[in-house]
Amino acid sequence: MQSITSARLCNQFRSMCRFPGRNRSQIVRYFSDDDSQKNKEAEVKVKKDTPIEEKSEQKASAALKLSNLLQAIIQDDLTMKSEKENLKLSTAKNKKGSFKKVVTAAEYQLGKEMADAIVGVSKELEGDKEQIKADLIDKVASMKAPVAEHILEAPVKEQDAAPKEPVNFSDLIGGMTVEKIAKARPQVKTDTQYSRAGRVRGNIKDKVDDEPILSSRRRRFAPDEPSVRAGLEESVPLGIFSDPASLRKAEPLLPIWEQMHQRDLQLAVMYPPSNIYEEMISWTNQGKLWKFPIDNEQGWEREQNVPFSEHIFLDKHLQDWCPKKGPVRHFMELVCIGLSKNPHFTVEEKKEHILGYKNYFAGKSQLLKELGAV
Amino acid sequence: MNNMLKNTLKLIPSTLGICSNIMFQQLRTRWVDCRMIRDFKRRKCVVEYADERLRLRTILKNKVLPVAIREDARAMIMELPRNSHPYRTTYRCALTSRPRGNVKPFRMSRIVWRDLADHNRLSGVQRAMW
Repeated sequence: MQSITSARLCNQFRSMCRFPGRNRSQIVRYFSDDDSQKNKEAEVKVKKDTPIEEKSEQKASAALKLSNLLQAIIQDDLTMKSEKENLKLSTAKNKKGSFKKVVTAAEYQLGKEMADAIVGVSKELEGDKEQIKADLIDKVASMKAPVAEHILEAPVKEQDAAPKEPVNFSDLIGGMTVEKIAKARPQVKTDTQYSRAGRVRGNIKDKVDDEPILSSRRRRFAPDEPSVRAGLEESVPLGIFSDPASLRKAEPLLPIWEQMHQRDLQLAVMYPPSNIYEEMISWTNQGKLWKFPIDNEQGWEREQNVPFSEHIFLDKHLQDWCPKKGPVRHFMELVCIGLSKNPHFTVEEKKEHILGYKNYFAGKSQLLKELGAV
Repeated sequence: MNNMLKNTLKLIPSTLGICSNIMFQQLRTRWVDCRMIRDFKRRKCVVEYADERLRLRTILKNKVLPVAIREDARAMIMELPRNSHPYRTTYRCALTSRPRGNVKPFRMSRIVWRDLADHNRLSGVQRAMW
């Protein structure tokens, strides 16, 4: 493994903290100073001695383009990282009772350089320094040793003439305290809280919106601003409907729904009567009360325009077909008298009756001739 | 309450053979029972043949026309369908389909009539006291 500088370590730790999902190979690669290893992905070996020269040329150009693209990506990545390092990003504040891990002795086997790096990083980053230190130690320790072993087994350099410091990091861990996990103690409940009413109150508290009703209602009913502002006349029409005016005349699919909707609209405008006079007016309009001057035929809309003479004088319907004398004539005259005295039939119905008799007698004409009635 | 029962019934698998669509509310359609439906069909038939029947009846019952024609009319009226006879209809209660004991102007059985009258649902009906 190559040498590791503390500054580089700082940078790499920062990136590691940000992206805890990095795998070991990636982390190893980031630790390395070797540029060739980094640009390994970028190198594409161009094939030589191809049978067709044009193909080889194309491939070469394509490969070149690819390599350029990849290099650009990596450059961007690197520049982004450097930019990120300059940014002062806010970290999450530790909540009350957050878990603080006890740093074990095994994790002390890290080495002076690592310790220095950890201290440097914790100083630069904002937030709880002890916590950061603990996190970093945890991270490095979890990587299991190749770094630690290497550091421990490395030949002593000119710089590190003195023997390595002992295991305890008094300055590193001096400030840390092992806090107990804050247990959420159950609140002492009174009798009322234990009771059903108390529980219901608790449930209501959780669910009820504490904001004032007016503002919440306003929020609910206020129309949301459109995210996309579209003009009605701007774009070209699709041309699906050739005659849009005819669409309005189409029958509704839910006729009763439409009726109810119309009724709702009417009721929205109408108000209940404020006094008895208004009530009686509304009844009169509905037809529940007599209108003045009194008309005996109020409500009879069937035969408004038919004069009474048409009801009484029905002989004209017998003119065409009925014989002038005989039992048939006698019978038909009786029928006409009866119909003229009947107020329940309409004129059309009376005519139909007389026609019915005409058809019946027309069917029995032979029998009548035999009998001599005609 | 009904919803709870319905929801519990939904949990019962249909493989057990238990019907999960048991009605827990009163089924209210236009017809109370089959007798009411049959009565309605007869009434429809009566309306259909009413005019024809009226004319034939008048020819039958008069004494002016010759007897032969009257006999012929009688034969014709017998050929008409049975359900066109108006006396095959019954004045059933509209709410309970009770054939007997009906208050005709209200088209209700006396029991239903009494119930509604006591709850002030019938216009102009009052407890008799004199």
